Amino acid sequence: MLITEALRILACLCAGEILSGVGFLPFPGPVIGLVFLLTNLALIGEVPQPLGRLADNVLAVLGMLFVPTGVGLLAYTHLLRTEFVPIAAAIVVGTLVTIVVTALTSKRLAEFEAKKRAATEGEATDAAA
Amino acid sequence: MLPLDPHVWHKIELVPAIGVGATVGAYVIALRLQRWSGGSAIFNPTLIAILLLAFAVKVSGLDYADYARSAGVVTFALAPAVVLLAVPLFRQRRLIRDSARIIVGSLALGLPTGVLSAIGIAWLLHADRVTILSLAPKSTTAGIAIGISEKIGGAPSLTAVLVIMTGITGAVIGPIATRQLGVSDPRAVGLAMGIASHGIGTARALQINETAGAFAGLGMSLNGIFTAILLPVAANLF
Repeated sequence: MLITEALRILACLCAGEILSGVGFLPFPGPVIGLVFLLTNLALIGEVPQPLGRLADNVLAVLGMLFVPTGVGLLAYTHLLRTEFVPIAAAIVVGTLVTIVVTALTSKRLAEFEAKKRAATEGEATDAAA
Repeated sequence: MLPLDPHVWHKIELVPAIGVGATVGAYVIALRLQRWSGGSAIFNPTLIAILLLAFAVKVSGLDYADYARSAGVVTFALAPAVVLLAVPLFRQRRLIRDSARIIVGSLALGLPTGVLSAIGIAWLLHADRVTILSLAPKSTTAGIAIGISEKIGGAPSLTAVLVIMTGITGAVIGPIATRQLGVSDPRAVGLAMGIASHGIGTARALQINETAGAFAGLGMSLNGIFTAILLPVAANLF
């Protein structure tokens, strides 16, 4: 049932918020809740269908949930104007550099792993031969 | 008579239905515009919805704080949505397990690049100290970034805005930049977008495919956790 799945999510979230709130774990509540739900799914061994559908529907509009926070730029129009150049450069160039470095690192590592796998597979065929 | 008297507006906006309705409405318009533009990258729905609402709030003479309170449920929904990222992660668990080295390596380089590039560029261009500190956690998701900003002496509400701008930037340029670099592995695209531009980058990566979305969610979570641990410690050293 959908409401049961909603409760499952809220239970994970509440547990996360409590552990985060009492300072037991230095991570934000939702991230701890994510780990709880992941553990829960590992124990069940599969994603219950209503939960899967709920996740797909909510995550499809994930971008909407940041909108009210983004409108907060209204409170900083003055600062954003006076420090436009450093802020814009730090965000645009910084984000671009981060994407390039991260994407190239994972690409290299993926190629390296693929080569290694091919080598061990080759060895296995040699041994078999 | 139209309720043009500011007191009347003030009474109206306090109802959550108005703020939530306006937010969902603006997002639906933004999605339509994106489809109408043929899926153009700059028509990022989060960006367009923010601009539409900022304009509406400004024109109506309301306070940002009143709108934010009225639309509070939307912001709250972010918390259970982050928990729900466990679902794509679980579905992709085998691929994630097989990619452990790729994930760790990307994070080990991506996390410091994100923090240092922001601090370095802002410092070189003579940004104010508080602005630099507020920019430092910009690649982590809003909830985490606000906490870090508080700890290291930034302005938390400014950080929130910078985080959203970073997310939109990554969502817009991520797919273009990775294509230009010849990176087509969805794991690499997802990790780059999640580590550089958190939840908004993840939202965009989920549109590419589930693998990119799951790796973006993973990159976002790990980046958030480790930045929250490492950045306050590093800030203390200086």
